[in-house]
Amino acid sequence: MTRVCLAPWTRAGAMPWPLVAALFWLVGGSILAQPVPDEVLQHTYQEAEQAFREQRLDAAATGYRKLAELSPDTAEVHAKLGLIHYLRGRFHDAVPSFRKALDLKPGLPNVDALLAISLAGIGQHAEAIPGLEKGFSDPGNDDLRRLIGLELQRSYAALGRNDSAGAIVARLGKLYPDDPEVLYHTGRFHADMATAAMQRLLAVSPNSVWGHQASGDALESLGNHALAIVEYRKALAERPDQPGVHYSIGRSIQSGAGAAGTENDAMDAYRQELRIDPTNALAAYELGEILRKRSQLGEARDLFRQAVTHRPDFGLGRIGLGRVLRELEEPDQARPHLEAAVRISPDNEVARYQLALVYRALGDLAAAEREMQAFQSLQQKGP
Amino acid sequence: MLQMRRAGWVVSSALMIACLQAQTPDRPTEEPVKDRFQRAQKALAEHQYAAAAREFEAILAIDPALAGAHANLGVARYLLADYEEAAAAFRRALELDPAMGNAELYLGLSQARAGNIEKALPSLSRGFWNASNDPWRLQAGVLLSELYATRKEDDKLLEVVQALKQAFPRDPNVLYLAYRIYSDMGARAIADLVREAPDSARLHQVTAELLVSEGDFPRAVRQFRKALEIEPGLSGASRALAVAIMNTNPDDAGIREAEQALESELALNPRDAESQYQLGEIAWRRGDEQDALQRYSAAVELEPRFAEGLVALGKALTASGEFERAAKHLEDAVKIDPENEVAHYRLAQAYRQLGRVGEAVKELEEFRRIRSASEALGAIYRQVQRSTVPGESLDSGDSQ
Repeated sequence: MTRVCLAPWTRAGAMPWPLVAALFWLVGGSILAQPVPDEVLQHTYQEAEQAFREQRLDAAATGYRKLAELSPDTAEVHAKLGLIHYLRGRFHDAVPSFRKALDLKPGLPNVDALLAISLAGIGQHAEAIPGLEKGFSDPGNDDLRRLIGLELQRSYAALGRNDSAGAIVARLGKLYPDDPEVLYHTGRFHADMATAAMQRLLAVSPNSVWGHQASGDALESLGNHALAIVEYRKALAERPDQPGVHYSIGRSIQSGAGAAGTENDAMDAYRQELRIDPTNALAAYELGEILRKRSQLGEARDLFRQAVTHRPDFGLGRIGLGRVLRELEEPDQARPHLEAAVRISPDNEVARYQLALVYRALGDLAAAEREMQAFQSLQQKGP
Repeated sequence: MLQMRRAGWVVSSALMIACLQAQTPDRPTEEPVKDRFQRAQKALAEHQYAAAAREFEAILAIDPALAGAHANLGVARYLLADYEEAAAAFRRALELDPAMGNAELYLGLSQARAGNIEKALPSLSRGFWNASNDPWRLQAGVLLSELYATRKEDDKLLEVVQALKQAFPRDPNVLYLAYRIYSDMGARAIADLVREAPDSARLHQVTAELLVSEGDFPRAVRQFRKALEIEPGLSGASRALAVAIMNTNPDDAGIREAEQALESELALNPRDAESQYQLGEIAWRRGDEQDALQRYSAAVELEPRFAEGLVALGKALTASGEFERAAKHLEDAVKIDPENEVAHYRLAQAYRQLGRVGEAVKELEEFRRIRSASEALGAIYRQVQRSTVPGESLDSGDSQ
């Protein structure tokens, strides 16, 4: 069989051109200020600059290589040459150029970070990490910091330092919550870690209650509800009072649309779960929903109340409770729950609609109109 | 949504009593107190928790400043499911002796069990980070994880999970917790990606990777192509496209197209070890062992911890009769990825060739153990598999 392998990290995406241009200026902005001894040097410099501006990197590299020969003690020339090598993906060539630049002028901006990224690019992760850590902790250039963070995560992962990689993932998530690249790498990192944990679990204890529970979860997410239930039942055979398993069976039955059992079977499973763990808000909610749909509103209300008592921030539980209370013609009691639901999930259409109905029942027509407009706006926006 | 709920509350009284043994009177006491302590301990050992609680209360009536007695009373109350009272007893014990081992942890557990989750958080957290690695710490860690997951405090959540994995590396409870948490966090990141960048190259890439994990290679190919249309320089996408193409069209034309995609990846990212590895695999299947060996070597040089690359290199070296070198690389692979069944199998082959029969038998046994576990649960792996690279597999007939 094909076994799971944790793919080494793919590199972070290409450096955006505005960042390149900014770095190009930063690492070598003072070249013009250097003494220019002759026309050849001046001409070579202008040609190389022109090539770079037009993104002809091979020509730019040729020009800067020549400049480095003509003016070997100018740190900025080596830094720019390093940057061009970096942009061409020639990390092996970039490393000595950046080193030379730093030897000549240790304080050259951003060059230590670029050296660290290049070292990571050639697999010298251990050597790269100190520079990457330093660059990541420097909030100076946000775009560069993001890039350094992604490389740092990759370097940690390559060295098997998954705890450190995880810390960077969490930090990147906070700094760049909407960044597709960061989200992609975050998803990949966690998926790989989940894979590793699953593999280890199945290796050390395949027949444990946890092994069966994990297997059930995995089968459930694959849509194989019947087999998932088999695994959950094996877990219960190992430990009949294992919390969460009856709830999972109930969910599998419901997801199986009747193929794996009836709605009554699901209800039985949720009830058993609540006997083991009365604080399981999800089981209380699911059971409450079934009863609400069967118009057993009193029992449904009690279950929703149980759910939100144990999990006050459970938006769906608040909606369920508010809705049932409204249907029981207790709009004054329903209102705080639905208002809480809207606070928790402002984009939930059902919460908005139910709250509009409650405001109307309470005679607050302006508020009702406001919520109805919010509901309609969400409907138009679509999922 | 985490489903670890309340797992932490499966607590055996034997465990409690084991903890209790350490809680002896904490300063010189009078004879009646010592007698009562002994009776209380006996009651606990016999699961007579109410009787034990009464003894501790009697002791505290004699000497209310005995921190150990308060802590023991807390344990008895906890076992009687009187969590509020247990919390009060532990709190009093800590007031009298702030350094009392694990009392803070028990206080947090009692508060959480009483339903005061938010209130429990500081004690649970301090208790967790200061506790010794006993099952109580595990219980507290599980609860803390649930709390942090609910509060979406990912950095703290990851710290706790890592600490649990380090402290209890073979505990199925912890491994299950880690599996669920990482799965949920990964799914959340992808959901965010869908919301934030529905037309992004990265979303098409991750969609394609999910399709690969489900074995739907033709649709994966389409998604990878879309990703590359949007962002031709997308790192890793050309290589993954190549793998998907090989799985869709394993004929000559498909392989040629895959090779081109891999070369495109290397043009973009010359240090991509996986592309070198895949080109090695193509060469190997074509029977060009020398080219394969070079590609595998390049892959391992680029990523020395690339287990699949090391296994492939070991395979190629074994085929060329370089058993010593093969064994070295395969030993590295086993160290990096101990659950890699192919690595164990290939290492057994290399050892046998080197006359190291005992070690060969051991590796073969390890291979059989892993294979037996993995075969039974093969379908499950796919759920979390996100690799764009098929792992090294044994050739047909290899394991006969």
